[in-house]
Amino acid sequence: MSEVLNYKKLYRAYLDCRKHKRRTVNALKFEWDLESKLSNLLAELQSGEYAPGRSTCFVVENPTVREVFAADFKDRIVHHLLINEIEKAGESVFIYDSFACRKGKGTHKAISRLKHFTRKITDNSTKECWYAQLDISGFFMSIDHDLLFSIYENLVTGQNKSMQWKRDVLWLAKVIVYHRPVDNYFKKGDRRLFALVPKQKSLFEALPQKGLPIGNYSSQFSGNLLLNGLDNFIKRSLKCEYYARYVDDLVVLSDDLPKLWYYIGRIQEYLETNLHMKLNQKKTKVKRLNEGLDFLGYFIKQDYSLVRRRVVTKLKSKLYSMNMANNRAPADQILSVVNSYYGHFRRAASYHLREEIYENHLGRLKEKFVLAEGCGYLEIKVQN
Amino acid sequence: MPTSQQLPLYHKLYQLIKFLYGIRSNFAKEYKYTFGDDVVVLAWGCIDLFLEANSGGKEKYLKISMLSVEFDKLKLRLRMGQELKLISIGQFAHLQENFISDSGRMIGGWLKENFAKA
Repeated sequence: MSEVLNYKKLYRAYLDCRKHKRRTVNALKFEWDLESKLSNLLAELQSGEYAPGRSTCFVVENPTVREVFAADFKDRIVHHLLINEIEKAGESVFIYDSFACRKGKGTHKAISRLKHFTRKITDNSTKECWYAQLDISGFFMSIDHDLLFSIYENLVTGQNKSMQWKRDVLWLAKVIVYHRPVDNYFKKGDRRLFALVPKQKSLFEALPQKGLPIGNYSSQFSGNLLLNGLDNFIKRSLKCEYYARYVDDLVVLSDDLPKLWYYIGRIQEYLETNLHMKLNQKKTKVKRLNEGLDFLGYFIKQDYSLVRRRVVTKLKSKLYSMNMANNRAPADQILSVVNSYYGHFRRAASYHLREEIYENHLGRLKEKFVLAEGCGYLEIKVQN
Repeated sequence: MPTSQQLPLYHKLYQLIKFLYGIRSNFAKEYKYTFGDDVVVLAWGCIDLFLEANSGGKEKYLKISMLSVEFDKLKLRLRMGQELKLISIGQFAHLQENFISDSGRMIGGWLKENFAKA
């Protein structure tokens, strides 16, 4: 029996895939006939006949216009199956300061790490600190399939596992990496939005041997794996101490401006020669940290950080629509929305912001909620 | 006596009951004789219907379709048992791989075969 392609692993992948998504139509459709669907999928995988199905393509407008390919539920299980197998191997080669899509990491960890860096560089705010924020233009669309697969190959063959395991995992990786959803998809939502997607961000415009669909779990992991080479180059060859990455958002901190320019040059060189990617020159910023670094929903300065303006505006507009007479959202639902924003705000200097939002923007809802001590979160008002 | 085509189904169902008795003994106390009994009784119901369908009566097709429904009920309960953590993921996979998927296929085939005759 195969070590990877067996019922237990597949069922576990199914459970992971279903998590938080169980009430969606596709998940329910699958669950209704779970046992036989899983065993059919397993038979397909074992015989090697499996091929990914049809994806749903739609466009999201917020925060920017993006084209998303959502895989079929069955295919999502297979993505989870692959990542479950390979995640541990990936974790062992990733650097500490890569924060995207990993267990125990995330945006908040990235921010607190950056704060830690600033304090170290500036010697507790007594010195100057510079940052370089780099952005890879059209990151997911410029990923080369062959290159990505060769990285998978290196990772998998280096593991201390049986030949059969390596063969099965590589086969899964191959099927997923080389799958092109543009050949089999159906469009959903407003068709006019598709024209708004910039060319370098559309999978339809990408070269046939390039591009990963945004929206697949496997794509996020693949992105991490691909840029892991760059991470290691920056940390180990350039010996750059203060570097953090979230997907394709790279931040390098330093107290020395010429050194920063040197790093950027080398990073660009590395990207072009090894990964065939380019830095987005317009979005590359080199500034003093006091001028502010706009990163992952926060605006970081040398001594303090603020919440990004866009997030605040979003909450205010949400509160406005919740105050409309025809809005019948239950109180606990509103509470969890507002509190999740407050959870984000709390990590920045935002005491007065939270107070102000409660006083001036909650409107009619103010009758239902009270602000907890320290303005940390909202609570439902207890009726006396 | 069932035909040689049906005998493997008997064997599968029989083994299934045996396995279910085995895992039931490890259920948590509050489920052992409630939920656990339901599962075992349903499994016995399946094998009883198998017997009745093979008894040579007129209602063969009806019995097989009843068996199919009963079997689906059993599957549902096993699914719940896994979610209640009474059945481990490994046990669930073992159940599916060795008993459920095969028996399901056999019952489906048997049903189809007799649909033509009925």
